[in-house]
Amino acid sequence: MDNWEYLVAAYSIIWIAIAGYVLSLSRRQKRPWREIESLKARMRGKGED
Amino acid sequence: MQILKQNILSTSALFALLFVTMTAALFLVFVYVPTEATMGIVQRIFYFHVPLAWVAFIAFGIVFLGSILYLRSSNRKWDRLAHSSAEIGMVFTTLVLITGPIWAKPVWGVWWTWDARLTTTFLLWFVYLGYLLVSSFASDESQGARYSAVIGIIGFLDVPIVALAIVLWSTQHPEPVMSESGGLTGSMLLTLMVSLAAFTLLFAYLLIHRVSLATAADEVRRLRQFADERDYDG
Amino acid sequence: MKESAGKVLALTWKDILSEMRTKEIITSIAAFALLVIVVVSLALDPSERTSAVAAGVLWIAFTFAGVLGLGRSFVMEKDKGCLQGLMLCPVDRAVIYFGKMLSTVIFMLVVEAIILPVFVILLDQPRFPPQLVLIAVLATVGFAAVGTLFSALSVNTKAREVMLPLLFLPVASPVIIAAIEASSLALAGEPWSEIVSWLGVMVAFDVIFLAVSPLVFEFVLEE
Repeated sequence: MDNWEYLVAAYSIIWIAIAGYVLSLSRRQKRPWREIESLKARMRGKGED
Repeated sequence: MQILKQNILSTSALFALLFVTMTAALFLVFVYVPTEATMGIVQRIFYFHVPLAWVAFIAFGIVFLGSILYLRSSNRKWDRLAHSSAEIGMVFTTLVLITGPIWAKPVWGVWWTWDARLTTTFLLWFVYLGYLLVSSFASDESQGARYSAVIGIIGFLDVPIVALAIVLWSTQHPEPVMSESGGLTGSMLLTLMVSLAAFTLLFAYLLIHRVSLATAADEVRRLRQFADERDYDG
Repeated sequence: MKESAGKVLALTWKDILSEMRTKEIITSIAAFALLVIVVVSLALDPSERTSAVAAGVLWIAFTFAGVLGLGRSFVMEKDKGCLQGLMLCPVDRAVIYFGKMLSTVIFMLVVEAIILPVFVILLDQPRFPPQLVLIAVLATVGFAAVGTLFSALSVNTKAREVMLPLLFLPVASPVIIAAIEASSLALAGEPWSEIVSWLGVMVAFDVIFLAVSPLVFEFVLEE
C-alpha cells in the first residue's frame, strides 16, 4: 500500500477537473436563456410601436 | 428554448448509462483487479490515464472531421461541433499530462519522461491550444471559425508525423517507458475496456451538452442581430 | 499547368526583386541566427561543444530566425496593402501560396549558406559534412510549407507576433527534431545510412504539407 498518495492524487484531480468542467458548462448555459428572454421582451416592445 | 430542453431530456438515458458504466469501472479498478506486481497500487492510474488519452485523440479526430466539413459547407453546426470537441479534448489532454507524471514519479523516480506517448500528447496539447487561441484572437466569428478549422486540419495531419519522429528519437535515446510491465492479464484487459467505455460515454455526454450550449449562443447572436436591425429600421 | 508555374515564378521573382532592394528579410534573419549561435556558444566551454550540442544550437538558431523571417514576409504585404492587391489577381490561391513559399525558401537558403560555414568555425566542429546541405534544404522546405500558411493566418489575427510561433513550433517540431538528430549524426562523422530515417521523416512532412497547405490556403486569404 505504499505510494497510495499518488493514486489518490491522480483520481482526485481527474474528478475535480471533470466536475469543474460540468459545473462551468451548466453555469454558461444559464446566460443564453436569460438573454433570449430579454431579447424576446425587447422585440415584443418594438412590435407594439 | 426548444434546443436546450430537448437535449437535457434525451441525455437522461445517456446519463444513466454513463453512471452505471462509470460505477462499474470504479469498482473494477479499485476492488476487482489485482494489484500489479512490480509497480504496486499506483499502477491503477493506468486504467484512467489510458482511456483519457484515447478519448483525447478521438476528440481531436472529431475536430478534424468537423473542420473539414465546416470549410466545405460553411454550415456553422460543424464549427460548433469542432469547437466543442476541441474544448473537451483540451480538458482530457491536460488530465493525461497531469496523471502521467503522477504515475511516473513513484514508479520511475522522475516527474517527466520523454516517453513517446506522453511527448506526442504534449504536442497535441499545444495544437489544441493553438486551435482555441486562434478562434479567440480572430477579428470576427466567421474568421475565427475558418482559421481554427485550418488549424484543426493541419494539426491532425501533423500528429502521426510527430509520433513517428518521437518514436524514432526514442530508439536512439532510451528513456523510461510508461506502460504496464508484463502483458495484460484477462482481468486487467476487462477493467481497461470497461473504463474505456465509461470515458467514451462521458465524452459523448459532455459533447452533446457543449454543442447545445454553442447552438444556444449562436441563436442568441442571431436574434440579437435581428433585433438590432429591427431597431434600426423602426 | 505550365501557366500556373509561370505565375508562381512571377510572384516569387517579385518578392526577390523587392528583397534585393531593401535586403530587409535576409539581413534580419542572418543577424538573428548569428546572434543566437554566438551568445549560446559563449556559454559553452570547448569540452561541451559536442556534435549533439552544436546541432541543437544550429537548429534553434535557424528555427527562431526562420520564424522571424516568416513573420516579416506577410507583415510587409499586409501593412502596405499588397495583400488586397494580390487577392484581386484572378489567380488560383494555391499560386499565391507557392509563390510566397518559394521566395521564403530562397531567402532562408541564402541565409543558411552564409551561416553554416560560420557555425562550423565558431562551434569548432571537426568537419563540414555535406549532409548538412541536404538536411538544411529539406528542413527549410518543411518550415516554409507550414510557415507560409501560418504566417498568412496570424497576420490577420490580434497578437500576431505571438500567434505565429505558437502555431508553428508544435507543428514543425518533427522537422526540428529530425534536423537536429540528423545534423548531430552528420557532424559526428556518421555515414549517410544513419541519417536516412531522419531524412525520411522530413521528406514525409514536406510532401504532406506541400500537398495540404495550398488546399486550405484560400480559406486563410478570404476576407
